[in-house]
Amino acid sequence: MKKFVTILLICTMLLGICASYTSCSSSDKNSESSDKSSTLQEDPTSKGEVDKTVTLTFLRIGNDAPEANYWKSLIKKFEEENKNIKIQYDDAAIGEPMETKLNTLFAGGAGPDIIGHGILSVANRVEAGHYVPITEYFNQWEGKDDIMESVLANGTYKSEVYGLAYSTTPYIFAYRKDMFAEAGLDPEKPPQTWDELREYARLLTKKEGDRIVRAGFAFPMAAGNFVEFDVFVFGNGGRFYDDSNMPTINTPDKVEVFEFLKSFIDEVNIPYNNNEVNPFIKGNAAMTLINNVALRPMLDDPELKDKVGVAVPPYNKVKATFSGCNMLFIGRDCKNKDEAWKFIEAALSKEQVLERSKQLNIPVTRKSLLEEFSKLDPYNAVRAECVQVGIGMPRTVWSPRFQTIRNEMVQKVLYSKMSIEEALNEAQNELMKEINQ
Amino acid sequence: MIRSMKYEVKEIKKPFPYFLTKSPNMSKRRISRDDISAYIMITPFFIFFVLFVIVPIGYNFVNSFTNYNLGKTRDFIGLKNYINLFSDKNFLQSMYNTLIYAAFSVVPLMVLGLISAVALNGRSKILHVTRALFIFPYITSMVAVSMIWLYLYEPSTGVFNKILLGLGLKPQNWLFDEKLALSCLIVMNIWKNIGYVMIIYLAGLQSIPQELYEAGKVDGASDFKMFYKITIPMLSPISFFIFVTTMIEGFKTFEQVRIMTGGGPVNSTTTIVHQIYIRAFSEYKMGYASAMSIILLIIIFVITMINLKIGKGKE
Repeated sequence: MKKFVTILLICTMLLGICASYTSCSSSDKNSESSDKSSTLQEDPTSKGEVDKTVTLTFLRIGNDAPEANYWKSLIKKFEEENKNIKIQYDDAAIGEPMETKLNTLFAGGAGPDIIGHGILSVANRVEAGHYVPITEYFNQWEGKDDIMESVLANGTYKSEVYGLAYSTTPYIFAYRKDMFAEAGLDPEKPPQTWDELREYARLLTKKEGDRIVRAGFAFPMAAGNFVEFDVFVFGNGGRFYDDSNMPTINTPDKVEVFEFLKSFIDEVNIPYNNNEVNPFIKGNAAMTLINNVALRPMLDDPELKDKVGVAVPPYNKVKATFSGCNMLFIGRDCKNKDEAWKFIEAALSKEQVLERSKQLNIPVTRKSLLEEFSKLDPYNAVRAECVQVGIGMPRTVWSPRFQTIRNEMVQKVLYSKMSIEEALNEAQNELMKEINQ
Repeated sequence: MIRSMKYEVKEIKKPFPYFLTKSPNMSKRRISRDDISAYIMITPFFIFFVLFVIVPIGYNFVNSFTNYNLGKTRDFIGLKNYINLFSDKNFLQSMYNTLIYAAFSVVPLMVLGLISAVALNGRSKILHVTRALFIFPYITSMVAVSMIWLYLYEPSTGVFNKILLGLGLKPQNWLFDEKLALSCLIVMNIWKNIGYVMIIYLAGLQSIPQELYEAGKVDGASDFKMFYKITIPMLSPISFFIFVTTMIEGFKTFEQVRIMTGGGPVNSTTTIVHQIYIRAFSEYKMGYASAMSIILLIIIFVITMINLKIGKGKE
């Protein structure tokens, strides 16, 4: 009897091991059986005939309610026009939550059919085999010559088109006009150069004793992604990589950016981390760099009507800013690519691009709509300009590591843990080490 | 009809740990129907345990010898991940931070938890309510607690700086000061978990036989002497349990770091689990992150074994 029980327990353990091995290996081999979401399903409404309905999964980066509502309404409209296609919508917050969700889905062999994701994902996820090329579909698309070249470049990798932009999120310079007037500055003339920015920030800073109670210029000091630093680098004519996709961190343009920031940030800033709310949104800062989406609630607030101004970020050499870009991709686990493309095509139609702009204040991605977009809202001219001068994240396989290294580098300099040169050299060496590995 | 039964109570002395020892007649013992029922009943647990504990650990262990990056690559690279770990400044910093965090959380937690338990050991309604209030932070999610403390530590409008200003002291940058940030997280951790420690100690206090205190009083011992000579020794198994569990929890710290500091400023608050998360889910280096988690597993295992050894010695 004892032997029987022992054998029973061993069998149980073996069964468990086999079951999990099967699930793990199916994800590795991208087994067809693991993906239930994109298989053909029988429509329960059909009477006798086998009417096939395709269900596609769609995961979008960002979880703000207005944009989620927009996508849900588009999906509803699309499903009405395409009775045989159903879209299951899901979203995740920008940054690590999205990566975690997507990685987990792909690791489980159940990657979404359609993915709405940013520039940073392109090189790595293409190399990881998570995205499939859509060049053939793109070449036959009516809108292929209308999409902005700078925007199209964001989704192109190794001469193949993988993603097409549905929104751009430029970092814009935001300032409080009422605080400008209070400090004796012209509310219609935001700073245009670095020197002006420093001068205005000092004038706008309010202190109670040693404590800064209102920041002249809010700049993040911990956590999150320091793209605000990138804005200054781009405005100084700098880049983070060269034409051969090699990092160019320790260059004089970055030294100048750090020297500029260190010359005044401590005097004018209320530290915040990028995971929390920018003091500008809370009314504790007079100027900041902020992404278009995060600023929107402030612009819509009736209490702040005519009190908030936007402009292209102040620059030193070149008018430029950081501009994020979200694109639609087709995932490797998609079994119904034609239907997935059909949805992408619908989402990128002129009608929908304009609708998104109206509903969400998202700058347009099609050239033919630029004029119409500028007329929609007084802030749109600045938004459109920021997209035109916008530069995105490096499209290289070392981009994710770049983010960590850049964030550490910025903190090391701002907290005076290292000299500017040491920090830049260390960052460059770390990236080279990464590439060589 | 109530049958009267006689129980013969014998003190059972088993060597520690009991479950690893074999009784002399075990091999001869026949398995009864009850035993089979028991084995069948624990079978679902075994399946769950194998599927969700043993297999992932094994899978993780195998991954730690590869360059797996969630994509096509999964080449065997031997001990390279482990060798790289020990020259990785961020990982070494995270080990140091985790050790400091765990050590400086455990001792105050035990001392303050015991003091609270002694103070709240009674039957009045006020004490009941106070005990409930103490347990609230523990049952609240770490995410919610972190968000609240983020506002408390806020440099310009936060409560702590207002208190400092009220006392005529200089305001601090708290989470944005690399010398203070880790201490801020430790203080929050103590506040959150003190209720848990208090409740365990309270259970221990209430199980100490009153006769011991009565005997102490007869012998003329002061309250302090009784606390020192009776309460603390009688609570030593409880203290040992709290020490082990809070130490392990300290080593697993993640949420508050992720939410409140992101590991900064300048990696001054990054912990081992935070580094695992960054490497795995931001940089997609699953193989490297797996090696980190194996190191964490070993650290926790060693600490637990040392604690068990000490505990065994005390028994």
